[in-house]
Amino acid sequence: MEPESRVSRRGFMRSAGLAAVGGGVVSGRRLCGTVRAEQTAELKIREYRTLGRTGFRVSDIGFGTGNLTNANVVQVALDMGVNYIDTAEHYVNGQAERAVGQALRGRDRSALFLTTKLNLQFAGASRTEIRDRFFRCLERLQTDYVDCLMIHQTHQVDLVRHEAFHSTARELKAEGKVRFLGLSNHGIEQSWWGRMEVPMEDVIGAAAEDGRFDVALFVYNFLQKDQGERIIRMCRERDMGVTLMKTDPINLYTGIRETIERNEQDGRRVSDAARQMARDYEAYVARAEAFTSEHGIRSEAEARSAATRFCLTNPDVHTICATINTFEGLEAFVALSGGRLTGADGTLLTGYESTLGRYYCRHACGICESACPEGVPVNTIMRYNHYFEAQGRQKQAMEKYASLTANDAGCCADCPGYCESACPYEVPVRTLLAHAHRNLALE
Amino acid sequence: MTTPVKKILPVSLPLAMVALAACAGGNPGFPGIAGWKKAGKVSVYDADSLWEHIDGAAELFIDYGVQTCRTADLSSDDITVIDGLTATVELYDMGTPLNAFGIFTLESSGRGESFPGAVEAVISPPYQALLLKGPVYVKVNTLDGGLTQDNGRSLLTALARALPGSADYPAELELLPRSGRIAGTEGYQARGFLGLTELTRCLYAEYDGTEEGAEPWLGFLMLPPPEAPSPWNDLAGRWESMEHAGRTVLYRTIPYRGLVGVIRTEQGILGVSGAADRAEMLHRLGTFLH
Repeated sequence: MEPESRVSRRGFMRSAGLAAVGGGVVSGRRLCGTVRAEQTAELKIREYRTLGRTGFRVSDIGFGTGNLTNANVVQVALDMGVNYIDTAEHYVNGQAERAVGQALRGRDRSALFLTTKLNLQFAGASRTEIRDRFFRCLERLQTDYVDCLMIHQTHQVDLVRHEAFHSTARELKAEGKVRFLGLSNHGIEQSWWGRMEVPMEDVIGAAAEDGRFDVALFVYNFLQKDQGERIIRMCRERDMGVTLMKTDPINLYTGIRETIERNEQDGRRVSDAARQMARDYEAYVARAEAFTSEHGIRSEAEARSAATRFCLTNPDVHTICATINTFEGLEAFVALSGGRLTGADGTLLTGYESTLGRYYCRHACGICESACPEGVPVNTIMRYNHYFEAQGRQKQAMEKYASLTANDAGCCADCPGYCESACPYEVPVRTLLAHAHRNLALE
Repeated sequence: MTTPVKKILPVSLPLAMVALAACAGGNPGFPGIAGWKKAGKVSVYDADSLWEHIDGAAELFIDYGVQTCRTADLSSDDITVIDGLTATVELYDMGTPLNAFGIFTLESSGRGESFPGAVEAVISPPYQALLLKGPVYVKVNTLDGGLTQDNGRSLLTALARALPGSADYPAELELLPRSGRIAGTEGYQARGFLGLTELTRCLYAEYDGTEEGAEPWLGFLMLPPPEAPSPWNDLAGRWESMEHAGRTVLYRTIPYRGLVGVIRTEQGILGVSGAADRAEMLHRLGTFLH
């Protein structure tokens, strides 16, 4: 998700001047009559870090292309000094790679670190197919080589040792088509092939042990830092490059107070835990307001920026792959380059974590679900409640909840809380589930 | 893509949605496809779990309002004709034909062609085929690279028959000015058109330059957001402004893309892009209006 910009749009606009005629793409198509600009944006990348044993000095803010449709945004990013581009064969069905290829025209290719990914979670991924798909990537990227070829969505240790991939990669390296290898993982999840129970650190750890991988892309943020820091340590010990995704977990529980008030008005029961949560939240808000006023933090976007700075403060993090498709998003992320967690940021995040982190049911965690004798799909219900409270999608959330095929959380209020015993983060899961049930089932 | 204006979707979306639900049996099922059998289980994702299936690629689908994605492996009943092809089929219900059209044109890079029983399709041997019908965008992936024009057409034909929904282009395309429009260049971008956060819900197409030898240029129509104020005032607060021929023109420079300018009309906000200077921008706006 792109954050809000803190940079003057018009100032940014004025910094761009027109020059010779060139080309661009939108929606993956060639656009006619476009005008090439000589970008002289004032915003620049302020820090470069050595990407592990690749030895390449990469910008601390990388360019993630998950929804890329605008090649000219990549061009401006390159002008700003962004030199790490993360793409994949199936981002926008290959059009993201095409947009990157457009943007790279006429550029010094050796000044960029370009990563693409192939998904190998298919039993039939043979050497021939991997090679063929890789060359299609090169064709779309309009380049002779990629700096790093990653295994995409590596959710099983077996994939780390995918011999067809490694034997093909050896050939491609010998041919000068690939310089380094990597892998990506975003945690335990439900997947096409069933539930993957292998923790992120097991997979990345296996890759580090394996020794053939030079770069890893994984999840790290201030609320999910324990596992992330263990992985970062493993990577540092093996001199692997560390690139991050999902660095911003901020989700304000702004609806809690309103929900409690509504339930009280409607004569519904409100648990002590929910009231405590609301009191915590209010205390946090009061502290946060004083704090943000004192330190000039004006918006949630700035708190999100602090979350990014938290990651950049770790010297063993090399680049953050920010998903970018607009100039506004680009400006906001590049403005964070060189950032460190300041005392103010630290206070904000510490306050956030100590007060609300306890209520943060970790994204795609699922550790507690196996402990529930009723088979309540905890992550799914938390997600629906997130729609309800944080996204204002009450109707959709309630419809989804009503259509759950598994048990809902109606049984949670009277349960001893097996999930809470299983949760390593001490999240009051049962209370949150009961709260969610009251929202979603109107009980 | 062939001329989209030749058949435009009537107001049949509610029926299509009902039919789609019926096709799915009101549960997270997968429609029966004549001549093909399901191998393995059906998986269903929604906007917030789609990343579990396609990771970062999910962001684009979320921008386009994806409702569900149903996936299943299909294998052909007729191994003599289809040579035992097994394909993974993903059915993306995008909520509206316009959203489905938008993501189809993006992901197919505008290479779609008319297809019987559907709006458009692309067959790209040996790995992929795409199909657009009503609010459903279909991706067929053959993981072993066994897709050919023939077996791809066979599977897409069966899918087109099985899926409910209209085989017509979304009605909104009619709103784009016809004069000078180059058939097959139409598209729809939900967010971040031309790299600008403020340009959302944009229908676009290439238009012929009016003078001989002139480059085609990109025209667009920004659809008003449902149940929200017009974005005109937001644009006015961000962009430069000038008066021309009795109308207010808002404009700005886009790096690597020249000037973009917009005017307000009854249909929405009309715009042109890629102009080298204000004179060219105004000329294009005038052409676009008339």
